Amino acid sequence: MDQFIQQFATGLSTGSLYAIIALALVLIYRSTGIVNFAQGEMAMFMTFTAWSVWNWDSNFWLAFFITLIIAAAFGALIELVALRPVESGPVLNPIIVTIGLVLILDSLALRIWQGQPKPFPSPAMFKGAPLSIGPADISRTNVGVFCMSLLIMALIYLFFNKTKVGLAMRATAQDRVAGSLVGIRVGRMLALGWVLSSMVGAVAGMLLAPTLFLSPTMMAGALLFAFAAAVLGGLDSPVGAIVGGLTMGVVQNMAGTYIGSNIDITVAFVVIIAILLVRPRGLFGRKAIQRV
Amino acid sequence: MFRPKALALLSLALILLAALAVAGCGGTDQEAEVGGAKTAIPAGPGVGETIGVTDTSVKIGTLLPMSNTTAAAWGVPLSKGMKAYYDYINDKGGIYGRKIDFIVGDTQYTPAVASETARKLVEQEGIFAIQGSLGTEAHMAVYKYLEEKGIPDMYILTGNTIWTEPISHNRFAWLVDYIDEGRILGQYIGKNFDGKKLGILAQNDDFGKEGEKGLKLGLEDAGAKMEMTTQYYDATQTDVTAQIQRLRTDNVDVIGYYGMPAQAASGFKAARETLNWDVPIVITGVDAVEIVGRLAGYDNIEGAVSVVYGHQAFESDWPGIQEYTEILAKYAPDAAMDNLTLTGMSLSEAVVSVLRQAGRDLTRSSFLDAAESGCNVVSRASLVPSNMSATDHRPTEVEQYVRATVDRTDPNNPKFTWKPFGDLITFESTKDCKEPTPPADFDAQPQ
Repeated sequence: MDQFIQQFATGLSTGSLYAIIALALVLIYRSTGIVNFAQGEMAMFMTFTAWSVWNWDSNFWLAFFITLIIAAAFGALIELVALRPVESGPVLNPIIVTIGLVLILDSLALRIWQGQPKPFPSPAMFKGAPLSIGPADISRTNVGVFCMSLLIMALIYLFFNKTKVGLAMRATAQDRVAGSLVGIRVGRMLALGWVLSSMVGAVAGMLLAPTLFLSPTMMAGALLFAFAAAVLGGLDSPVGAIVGGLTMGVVQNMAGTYIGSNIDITVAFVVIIAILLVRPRGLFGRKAIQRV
Repeated sequence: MFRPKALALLSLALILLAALAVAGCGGTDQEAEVGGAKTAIPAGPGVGETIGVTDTSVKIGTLLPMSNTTAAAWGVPLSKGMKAYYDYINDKGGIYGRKIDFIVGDTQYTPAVASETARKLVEQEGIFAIQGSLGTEAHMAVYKYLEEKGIPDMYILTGNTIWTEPISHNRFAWLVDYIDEGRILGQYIGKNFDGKKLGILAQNDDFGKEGEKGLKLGLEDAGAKMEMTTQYYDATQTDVTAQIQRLRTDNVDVIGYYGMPAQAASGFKAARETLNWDVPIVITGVDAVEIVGRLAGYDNIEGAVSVVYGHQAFESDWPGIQEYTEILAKYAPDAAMDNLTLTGMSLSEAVVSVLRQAGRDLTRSSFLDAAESGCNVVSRASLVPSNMSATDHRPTEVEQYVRATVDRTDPNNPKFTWKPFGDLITFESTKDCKEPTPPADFDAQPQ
């Protein structure tokens, strides 16, 4: 039983890593209708930026907030330069652009910061002995990541449901023409979606880098799971992203413990496909209603 | 916006894509064989004996990850070391008047690109030989092709057994293979932890499984009776906390670890920081590099045991290392003297020593015969002399135990090294070699 509880807790911590990236994916999907394959690379790029800032002034939180500001500008820039020209075209075009961004950001990062993985600082509050919850030990970093995902989710909820801008963003994502007819500046709303998602991605990158180490490919492994988590939760639901991420982590860990560590990933994906066969919209995905 | 059906389809497609990508990372062998085996170019030993050789030059290529991959962090310094050594030789007039024309081919660490680059080097550049190819899967895609074309495939920089089992006349490995290396680490574990429980943590691929096999053989060698349990992790994952956690739940007394540097560092952090667990860790020589210490944190890695097969860059009192340091400073002033540039230089030095022995009439046959005739060959970084033969294509058959050591004399600037301890372990398979007759003017050639 102790083993079960411990592995469940470890699964939750692994899952919290997936959840926070999934959250950024959901955010962009929800506000622009695009699945952003470059989410991991954008986060990586911002984490390298944070590392450079941190090298210049070794205060973690200063670097953290400066990076958030840069990330906001970075998100807006990408939307303006790379996405806006293709936004009105077929739905596949922006997706292809995000795949192109993956390659561009990868090569750029390799060129600027080189490929050798680098250690990344964790904030002082995440250091120290692990927390014991019953028989389970869980690292402070993971607790921190977990709390941060909940906090971001709450902020997103408030923003989308309690503010006018949030309402306008949801309207834009649902129907651009109708949105612009009622006076919403569609372009700005789309850019704002990228700004927010770039910022969440940056937070994810900075929190994960002490565990995954800083390198151009740091997000590659986790991003696959984040995608799976986002889809599992329902691509447009922030709650779903978190539940999906935690489910992924727990299933992977349980499979690794009780079936075999060499097929944990296989089992996790089989479980997801099974869930999607029963609920194609994901666990928390809303059923889209369309007039025919 | 997507329609609901399209959304469901897209969701499934994404999941399948992700699953494929995960599976793909462990399973490119098939592609590799296709890339290697299907070639219609006339080939075979004896064909194109002197391609790439003129009276004043010899063209030698390498296949390294140089861009578009984090493995470039290994490829770039290796190539700088290799080139620096050749520039040094060329400055001294070359070997029998032939300067080495060194060409770096970029594999991007992927089988498809490696295959294309190898063909370019062979068919367009017309290289005489290849050296120091890095990356098991990348080299899998080209080794059969090089074999068919009879091109010397010198000193492959991965430790898989496949390069020398079976032996091909044109192909030579560089590193100790993972089974032999695992075996030596296993012997250490067997001697020091007999009767206790061993937890093996291995990457779920050929690298990890050969290491695992070696560790078990080593325990048998030592006659140790140990309980065992194994955990695997997938190469796409960096965080191995869950696996370390399971080993602790299984109450293991010592860990034998076959993982790549980032995962190795993650393992040390997970054990010491997340779980507060001071279990002894014995780890593959792949990780006996400085960067693993930096990533893991010096406090976390201190005391870990591993192996190295040569002198290391930090041994500044060893004459060979001093000479390498001078060569690098002169011919690649932008490169740092570390174990990677050092490996590049000593690999080029080994090729130069074969070129010297091959003599003035350089052909692929005379070159390969010279490589097989190596007897008591010593390079600047060697721990022991190396012997070769028609049945021994592994130049490195020695290991030295090392321990992760932190020197805190200056508390603000602790120094981390993999410090050698114990006797050298040699397993030279060519016992009685006869030193070959040196060709004319042998001693006049630079080395």
